[in-house]
Amino acid sequence: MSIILVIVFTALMLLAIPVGHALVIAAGATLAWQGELPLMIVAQQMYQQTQSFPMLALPFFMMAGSLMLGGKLGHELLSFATKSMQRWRGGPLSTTVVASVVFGGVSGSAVANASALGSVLIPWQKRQGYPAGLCAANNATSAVIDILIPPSIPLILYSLVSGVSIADLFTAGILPGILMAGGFILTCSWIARRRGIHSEDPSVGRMELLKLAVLSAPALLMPILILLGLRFGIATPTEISVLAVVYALGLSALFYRDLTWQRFHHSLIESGIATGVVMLVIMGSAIVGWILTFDQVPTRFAEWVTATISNPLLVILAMNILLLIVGMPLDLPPAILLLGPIFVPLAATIGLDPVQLGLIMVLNLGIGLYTPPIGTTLFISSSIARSTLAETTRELWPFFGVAMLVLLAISYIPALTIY
Amino acid sequence: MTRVAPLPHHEQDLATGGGALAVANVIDRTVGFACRAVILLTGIALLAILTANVVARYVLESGGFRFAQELPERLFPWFIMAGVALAVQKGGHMGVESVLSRLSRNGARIMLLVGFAIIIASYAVLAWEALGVADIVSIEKSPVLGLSSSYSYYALALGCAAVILTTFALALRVALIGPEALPTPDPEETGI
Repeated sequence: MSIILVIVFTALMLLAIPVGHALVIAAGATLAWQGELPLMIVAQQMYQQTQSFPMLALPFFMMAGSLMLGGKLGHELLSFATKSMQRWRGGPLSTTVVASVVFGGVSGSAVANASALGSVLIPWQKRQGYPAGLCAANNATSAVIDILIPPSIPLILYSLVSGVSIADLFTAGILPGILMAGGFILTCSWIARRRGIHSEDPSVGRMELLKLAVLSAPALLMPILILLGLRFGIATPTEISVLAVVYALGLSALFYRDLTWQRFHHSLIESGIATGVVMLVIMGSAIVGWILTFDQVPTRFAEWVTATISNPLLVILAMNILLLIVGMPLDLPPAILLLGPIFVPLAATIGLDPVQLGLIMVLNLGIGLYTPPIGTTLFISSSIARSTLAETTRELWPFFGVAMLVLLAISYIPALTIY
Repeated sequence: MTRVAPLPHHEQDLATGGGALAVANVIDRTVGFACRAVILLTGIALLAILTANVVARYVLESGGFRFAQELPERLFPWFIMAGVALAVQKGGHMGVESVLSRLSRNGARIMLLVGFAIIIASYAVLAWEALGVADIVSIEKSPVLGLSSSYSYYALALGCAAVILTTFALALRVALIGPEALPTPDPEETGI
């Protein structure tokens, strides 16, 4: 059955049918071809995913991010990131990295981050003398830091397939996110020094920087509040996501005074659509996962890998290579939901912690978002910067190298993700 | 990944594509309005129930509302399926378009239409199956509010119907205008 599933799914993908639809249709076609199992399984599996209480966190984390970044707070955050980095060599480029970290604490979507930051920062960086391809490469790679900093939508999805606590995953993402950001900032500084590019904007005083930090503080506090809420059991992840929306609404209404019905309406509809996109993939992956489990594919795969590759370090390397390849054509949610159930039992057999595996998966697939020749943040950033894919790709390699080093570090040093 | 041009205005449609495009516009407006209304109503209800429950847990001796888990579980499928259908309309569902982008305009048009036909047929079967399961589980009631499990399957079936209608409207546009009639997705709505 699984072979038919893979063939039909690949054919549908080649026909440009969206991934969510392709998963549902391929699974239905496989069951119809098999003939003995009722098609009702498709409806039942889809229904079961809609009954997952933790998944209610998805729309509300998205909505909180949209509410916070769509108003004055987003503007203040960007000002803070811009001014705080201005004094350093390569500062304008590093602004994207810092902004990705601070926006990551509010939003949970790399693609939204690439679009929101790129449209504001790339034109400014180009005016400062940075080549378009370099601005695009920096924006495409930095946006992925967003999915390591809590709240992270891909980590919530991984918790669904692995059963690992969302709090543990969110905590584990912080250090890799900071490592990646540090590496990218050093890369930006090195590139600016090597090419002799100086910022023309005057650096700001400490008082102005402090004022901007105070104005941005409510957003900078959000990931900390989320982690504290989860760690101390104040509320469940779903309730925390709802409280994040209430926090964003309160700040917008009382502190920044920019809350309107239109903004609320827009944020809710936007999060509804994004939830529909992600949940369709979750529902489709659930049926596919059911068929793969029916065929005992995860268990057989784990047995085959451990029999073929005896060294656990080589198994981890093989997983990384496979994830990097899969991450190129396939978007994050389907890749996590399809490979998670296969990799989690494999990780258990080689003694790899599921939290560490979650970070390895998310980072690998995040790198896939900017790996040429296919990559969503790569395309968005190149389009905003008006650079060709070749120009962006040429400038991408130093950032890609840093990301690979961080990936290797979290793959082989458990202390970076389990603490 | 997806391309390209804004949807044509109603007047332009009438000038270039006639009645079929007017039908597509009516379908889009109707489905769009219904889905937005469902997202707003269920979204606000979910927000209110879950917030009230956190507050109640720390204020009431009972430790929160007994219905605070089962009511959201009944509302969430409606919120999701409305989002799924609206995402079809706005081009939010992402696909791999490497083959499509290498085809001629007519080739791409034919390939897209084949894809739309497969989606419409498959979702018609799925809607039928969902209604069948809704009938079977109608006797299952939630413990506190006594809500039937059928409601969630009705959401699935109606969501499929909305996807069919929206895909049909997209197919009409692509058939009459060409592949450039595909909507451009908003990065904020991809959920990645």
